[in-house]
Amino acid sequence: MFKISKQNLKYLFAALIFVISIPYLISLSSNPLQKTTKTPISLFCLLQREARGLLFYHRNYLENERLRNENYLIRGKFTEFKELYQENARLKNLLVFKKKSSFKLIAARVIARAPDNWSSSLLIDKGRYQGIRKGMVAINYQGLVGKVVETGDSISKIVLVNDPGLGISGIIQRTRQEGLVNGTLGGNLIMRYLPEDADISVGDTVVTSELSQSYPKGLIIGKVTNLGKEFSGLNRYAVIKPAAELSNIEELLVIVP
Amino acid sequence: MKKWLFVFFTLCLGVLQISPLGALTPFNIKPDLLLIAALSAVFFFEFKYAFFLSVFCGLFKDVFLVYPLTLNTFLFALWSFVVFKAAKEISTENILVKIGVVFLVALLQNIITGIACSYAGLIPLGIYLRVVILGSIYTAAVSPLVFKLTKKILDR
Repeated sequence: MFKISKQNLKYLFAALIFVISIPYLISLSSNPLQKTTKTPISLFCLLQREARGLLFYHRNYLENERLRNENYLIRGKFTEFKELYQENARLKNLLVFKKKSSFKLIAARVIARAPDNWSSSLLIDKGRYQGIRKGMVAINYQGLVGKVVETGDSISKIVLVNDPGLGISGIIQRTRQEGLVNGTLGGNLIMRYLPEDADISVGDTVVTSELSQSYPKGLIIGKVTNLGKEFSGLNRYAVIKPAAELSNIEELLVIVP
Repeated sequence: MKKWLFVFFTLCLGVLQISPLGALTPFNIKPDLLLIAALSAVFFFEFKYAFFLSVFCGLFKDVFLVYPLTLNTFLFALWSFVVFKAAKEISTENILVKIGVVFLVALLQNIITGIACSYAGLIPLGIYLRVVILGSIYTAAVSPLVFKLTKKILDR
């Protein structure tokens, strides 16, 4: 019924080839020489590349190894530069702060942290020889960091503000409401003994009060992030996010009174 | 040689514990690597060496502490003695038993030091429980790694 003769099949095949090659023929009219030679040349290039790859495998392998090593080296250098860049930015901030500050300050580098979970402290690379004494206050350009509790000849121990053993008398900068700021060993501080009707809201800045004789007045402690009622129901408390990033301090300044 | 290597390994753990490695402190809790090292010494070395190493670990920890207590030196020595005595009664060959012992010792250590710390200055109950429970679990969870490394030192 649908029998096609051999002659007809040839015509059909020729027609099919013609139809398929129409777009190619059209494209030939725009740049005939380039279009015609493109396919065979790229095919030849591919073969040549593969043959060269096979012939010079060892040389390419060694070159690859060398480039890879170079890449590792450059990556290492890049990380080093990035570290130096960040250190430079931090030190620049500290320097600007030191210049602007009215306090006499000693810059120090953090060398170790507390080995236990019961305290929050760190060790700095400056001690008695550099003029650091027990009770001095440590800050950075962001705000209050802590207090010196022990000094060696050239190292000192600093208790951070988030240590529960450290109590700081603080005030809400906006309303001058006073309270006692304590650490929680975590990322936040807590301001206790706030009266029921205390004018305090989320986002308020908390600074050191002049009642606290150990700390100079007006050092930024942090910002209020949450408010709540004490278990007794008599007082309120405020959760404070410390202004200084306590978990990744690398340099700080000690105030010399 | 192996003993000196283990002392060096303990020193490395101590440095790791006092270095500001933020990634190792989820929930602001650190594993007590020095306690694990002291107990490793009890499990894998003879008592005399383990006892002195425990005292060394306790001293190392006390030196870097804020509160003026030398509790860790005493406690570490005590734990090494107690665990050595207990190891005679029960088999500590199984790793799970070792982890259990580390957990119990870490729990007792945290309870005692926690009470001592709250005696020096009040620690809220929430913080106390967090450190006691999570600190002990974290210490126990890290201990197999230290045991494995200790075994590697011994097999050298």
